[in-house]
Amino acid sequence: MSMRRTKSWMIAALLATLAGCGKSDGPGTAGAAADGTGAPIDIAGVWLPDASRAEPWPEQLPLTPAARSMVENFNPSEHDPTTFCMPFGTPRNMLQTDYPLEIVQTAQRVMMVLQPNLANSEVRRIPLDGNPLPESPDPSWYGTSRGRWEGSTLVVETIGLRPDALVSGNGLRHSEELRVIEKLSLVNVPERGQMLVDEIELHDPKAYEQPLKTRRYFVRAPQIQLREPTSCIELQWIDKLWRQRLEEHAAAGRKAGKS
Amino acid sequence: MNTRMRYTRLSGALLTALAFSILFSGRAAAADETVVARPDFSGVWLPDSKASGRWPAQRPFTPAMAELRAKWEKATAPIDLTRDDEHISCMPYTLPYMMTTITQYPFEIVSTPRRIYIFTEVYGQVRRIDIDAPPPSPETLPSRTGTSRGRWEGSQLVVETTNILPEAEGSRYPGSPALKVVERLSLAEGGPGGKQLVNEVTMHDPLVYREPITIRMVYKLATGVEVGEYICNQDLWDAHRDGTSSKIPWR
Repeated sequence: MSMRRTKSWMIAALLATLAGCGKSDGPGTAGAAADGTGAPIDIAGVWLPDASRAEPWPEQLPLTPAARSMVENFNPSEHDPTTFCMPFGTPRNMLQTDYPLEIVQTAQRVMMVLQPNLANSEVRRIPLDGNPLPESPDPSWYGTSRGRWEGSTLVVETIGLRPDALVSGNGLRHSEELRVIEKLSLVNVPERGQMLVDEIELHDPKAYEQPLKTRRYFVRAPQIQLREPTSCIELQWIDKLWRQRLEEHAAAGRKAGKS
Repeated sequence: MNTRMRYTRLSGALLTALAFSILFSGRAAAADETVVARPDFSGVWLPDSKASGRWPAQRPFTPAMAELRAKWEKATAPIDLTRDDEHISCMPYTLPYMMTTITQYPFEIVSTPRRIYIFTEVYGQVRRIDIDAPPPSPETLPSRTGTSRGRWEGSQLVVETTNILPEAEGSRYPGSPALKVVERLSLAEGGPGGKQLVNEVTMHDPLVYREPITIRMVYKLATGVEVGEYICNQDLWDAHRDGTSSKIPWR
C-alpha cells in the first residue's frame, strides 16, 4: 500500500509537469491548488471521514415550510430508510462520518464506494466523459452524476435523487429537484498532512431557500479494507430463520399437548 | 470504455483526461517491458447464456457431503423456494455462484494498475482483485466475495480466491472453508458485442467435491449499458411507505 502511495505521488507529479503548471514540488503539495490551476490528481484509495472536522449545519437552516415540517415531524423508526436496511443514498453517504469511502479512479470515470452495514454497497458512478447530464433521469438512491476536472479539483454534479432518502439522520430532507454540487480536492492541514476535502452544495429551491453548503474532510486510510455490508439484511434473514424455527417448535409443542 | 474510444473522444475539456490515460497505460508498460500486451477488461459485461457452460447435472459430491445433503433435504422437505431461498430474501451471492450464474444483470469491470474491480448490478456487490498481492493473512475474515489476488500469465489474468464464506450443505452450491476458486480471464473476438470475456472458473473444494469442477463462462460486451442500482429490499421500504404488500419472505 505504501508503494501505491508513492506511485500516486509520481503520477500527481508527472501530471503536474505535463500540464506545465510546474507545481511538482513533491509529496504534500500536489493538488494544493484548489483554485482551478493544476492538473487532475490521484484521489484513488480508501479514505476515512474526520468527524471532528465535519462542518455542522448552521443552527437555522434556510428551509422552506414543507421541508421544515418534515424535520419537525421526523420519526427515525418510521421515516429513516436505514431503519429498513435501505441505503443512505447521496448526499447522505458523503455527509456521514462513520464509514470509510473508497475511490476508484480512471481517466474515464470515478467510482465512490461506501459499505455501510446496510444492504448493498453504495456505489456512485461518476463518468468523466464530458457528456451532459440527462434532462430528467429516473430517481435513484445514488443519483445520476457527471464529473469534470477543473484544474486539480474534481467537480461532481448529481441529480435524479429519490426524495424519500434523508440528507442527514435528524430528518433533513430534499425534494426531487435536488442538485448536489461537490468539489473534491486535496488540502494540506497542519498536523494532519494531506486531506481530501469535499465541498458539498445542495441546491433545491423546493426544500431550501438558499443552497446548503458544508465540507467533509477525509484522511488516507490504506490499511482499511472495505468489508461486505451484509449485516443489516443478514440479521433479518437470521431472524426469519429463527422465527420459523421457534414457530415450528411451538406448533410441535401444541401438537404434542393435544395428543 | 475501450482504448479506441479513449483516444477518439478528444475534446479540449478531455485533455487532462488524456494525460491520465497516457500515464496509466504508460505505467504498466514501464513496469515490465517484457510481457505481452495485457488486455483491458474494463467495460460492462453480460453473461452469454448460449456460449456459457453450466454446472454439471450430477455434481461429484464427496460421500460425506452427499450424505449431509440427503439428510438436509429430508429434514427440510418440502423445499419452498419462495420461502427458503436466501437470495430471494436479499442475501447477496457468494463466489463462485456470483460469476457462474446466468442472469440478465450486467457487471462492470474497472481496471486500475494494482487492483481490478468487478461491480455487479445484482445485489450491488463489489469484488476487488489485487494484482500480485501476497496470500491473505490467516486472520482475514471470510466474506461472500472472498479475498482475491490476481497475476498475469501472458494475456491471461489468473485470479485465485479464498476466504469465501462457507455455504451450508443445503444451499444450491455448498462451499466449505477449504473452497478455492481459480478464474482464468481472457478476451476473445466474437459474440454480439464483437468482444467476449472468457472466464474459466475452477472450484477446488475437497470437502465438498471429489474433484475440481470447471465451468467456462462467456460474457458479452454490453456497449451502451450502464450498471444500474439494485436495491433488493426496495419493496420492503415501499410497502412500509405506501402500504403495498412486500414479496420479501421475512416481512
